[in-house]
Amino acid sequence: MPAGTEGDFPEIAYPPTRGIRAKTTVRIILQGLFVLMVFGPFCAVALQLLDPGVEAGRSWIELLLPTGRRGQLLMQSAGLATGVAISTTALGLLAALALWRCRQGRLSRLKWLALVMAPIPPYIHALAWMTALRFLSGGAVGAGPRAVHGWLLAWWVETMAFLPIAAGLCLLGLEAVRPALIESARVIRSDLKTLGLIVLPLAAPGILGAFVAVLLFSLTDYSVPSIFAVDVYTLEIFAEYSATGNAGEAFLLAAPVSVLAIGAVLVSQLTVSEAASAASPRVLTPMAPLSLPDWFKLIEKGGLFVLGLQILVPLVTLAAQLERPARIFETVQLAAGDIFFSFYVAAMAAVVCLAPALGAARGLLSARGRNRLWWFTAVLPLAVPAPLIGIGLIVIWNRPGLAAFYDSALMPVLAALTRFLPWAALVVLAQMRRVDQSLIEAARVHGKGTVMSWLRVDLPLVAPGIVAAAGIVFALTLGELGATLLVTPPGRSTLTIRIYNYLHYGGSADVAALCLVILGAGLGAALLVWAAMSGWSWLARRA
Amino acid sequence: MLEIRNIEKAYSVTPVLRGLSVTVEPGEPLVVWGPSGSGKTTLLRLIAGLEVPTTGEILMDGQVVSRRDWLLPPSARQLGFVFQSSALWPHLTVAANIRFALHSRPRLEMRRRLEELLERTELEELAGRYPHQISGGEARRAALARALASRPRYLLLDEPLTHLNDDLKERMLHLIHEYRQQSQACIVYVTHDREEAQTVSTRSINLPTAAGSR
Repeated sequence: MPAGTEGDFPEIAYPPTRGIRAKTTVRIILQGLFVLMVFGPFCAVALQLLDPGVEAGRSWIELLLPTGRRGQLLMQSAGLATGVAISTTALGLLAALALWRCRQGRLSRLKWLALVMAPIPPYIHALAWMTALRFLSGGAVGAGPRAVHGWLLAWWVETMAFLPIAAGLCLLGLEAVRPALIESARVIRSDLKTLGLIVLPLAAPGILGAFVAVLLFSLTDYSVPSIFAVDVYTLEIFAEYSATGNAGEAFLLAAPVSVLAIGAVLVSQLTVSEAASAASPRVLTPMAPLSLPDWFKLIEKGGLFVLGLQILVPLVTLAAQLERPARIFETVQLAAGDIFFSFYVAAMAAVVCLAPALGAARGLLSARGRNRLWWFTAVLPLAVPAPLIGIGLIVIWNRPGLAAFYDSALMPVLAALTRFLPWAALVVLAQMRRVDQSLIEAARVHGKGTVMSWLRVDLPLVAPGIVAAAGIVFALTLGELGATLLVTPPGRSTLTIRIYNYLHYGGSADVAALCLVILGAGLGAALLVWAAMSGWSWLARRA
Repeated sequence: MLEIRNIEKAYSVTPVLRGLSVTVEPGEPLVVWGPSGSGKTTLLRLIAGLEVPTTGEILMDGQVVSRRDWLLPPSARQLGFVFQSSALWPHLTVAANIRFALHSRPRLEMRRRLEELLERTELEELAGRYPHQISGGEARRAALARALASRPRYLLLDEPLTHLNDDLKERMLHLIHEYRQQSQACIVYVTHDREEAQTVSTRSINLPTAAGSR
């Protein structure tokens, strides 16, 4: 064989070191834990189909196929979710475009603060807009609009509630577009054409991700529709289970809405994965701002105005309802037990989610090309309706001998983990994608061992993602209602349950005070995430 | 004619270009060379209108196009630009990337020009491929084809021949020279390679690190 050909370098299979073996084992355990946590309740409910009690009631086909009233309900729910997703994505994109164009100066770093309301539960928006409408119509809004304009109000409030999430995902999509790709178009075409033909198609994963995320949130949420006296399919699952206590029936009832949500997840699988992958190491090249026509800037400002509204309306109406500032302290004292319990559950969920989220994110990082199974596994749980998760947990834990667990804070913690672990994994993954892989490889070459390299290099580099994931899970858990309502132990209540129960009787100073507590905690978590990400950007600029 | 008058550019407080004045006549390439961080790319970005100068001005055919308080939009400058990173749009094929620059031409002319450029840059076989499906050298050639597509009056080339082997380098240099002769375009050619600089033109400026006045 001639010198210098491939034959000179026979492939050598290096035996894995003890450190690598240990790391792989830990990763497999964490990924197994992730799968168990997010699929456990769903599978437990599915297994209830084997229970003969299901057949004794109604036939499978009758439950599975949404005909008559249920069919209409499903269509209405899908219509509401689609409408909310369209309006939220459109408004979010406009607001994101306005924020994205603020690329330079100190103010550019504050743009993420426009999204601070993202972790605030939708029912707080519902309360705020009910109060605002009551005020605008001279106090006559109370029952009237709830009965007459229920769907419209539900659509508007859900749009407001999910707007910061959509704007945030659109902004992430826009930020991921490499400036060089924009500049190379700007020298050929006008800035408006560049925006339409280059920037928006390249930001499409973020924009489609926003659409699908809002669609899923709206399809699986019943808190806002129920406040506005609107029947949605997810509420039907909750109501049926409350009436019959039959988990198998609940599973079959949930199937149509789950199929719709799974369809959305499957369609978006590629875009969601690309949106998370798009957060690549980014060089902030200074660029002369895009000069867009005045009419476009006006539309953009419209989006920004609505984004501002969804911050101001809850803050102003809740503050106005409070009557006097001291009221907040009085209410906090009265609800101290619930507040402590909620914070405890949220903090536990935020801490416990980190290890399995890290393992899942690692799996997602290496799931490329045709190897999409892990992606499917990690993203699919987002499509499971919240009540079904609660029912699944009841099926698993409500057994003789497990009462000590079933009647403890473990249940709402598990409910939060099942619902929000996929989000935590996606956030950690986004940070992993931002890390220059050569830094990790350099650690492997120069490091003293796999574990030390991981502790000294990998972990600190992924730390902002870990902090952000913890903050997001904390805020989401604090506002979780769909599953918590079913699994909170007797004699205990969370802030959300207390607020939700009060809400059906209209707003009051007590509700406003409790909402402000949850708002403050949510904002605190959002600021933590923002600080973690800003800290990373600062570090990246120094590198 | 391209005139750069006493241009300065600083990021925050760090000066990148300081008091640079130079004129580029039509059909006469100017080579800008120097080490990394000397401001070569910044100079091209200033000419393209992608950045605002801190002081000084840039004129094209006697008209001010860049000043601290005034920028002619980049698309109105009749430019072709080969970026250092190729900057091919990943959602468009090689052919669509080139066609993007031919938007205002009649359909038949657009097709002829596209075919001509694909042939000259030896990319006919790769026309339907996406940027991630081609090599670094092929991407450079596609970027060059895109830059030449609209027959620009000002051609800005930021290290356009990196990743190319010697044979291809020679053929692409020939293409650039031919275009210069035909169009009498003002060409600004950036490289860090002194030998390459001498091949392209006899007229060159050297930007040392943290450029001082010249």
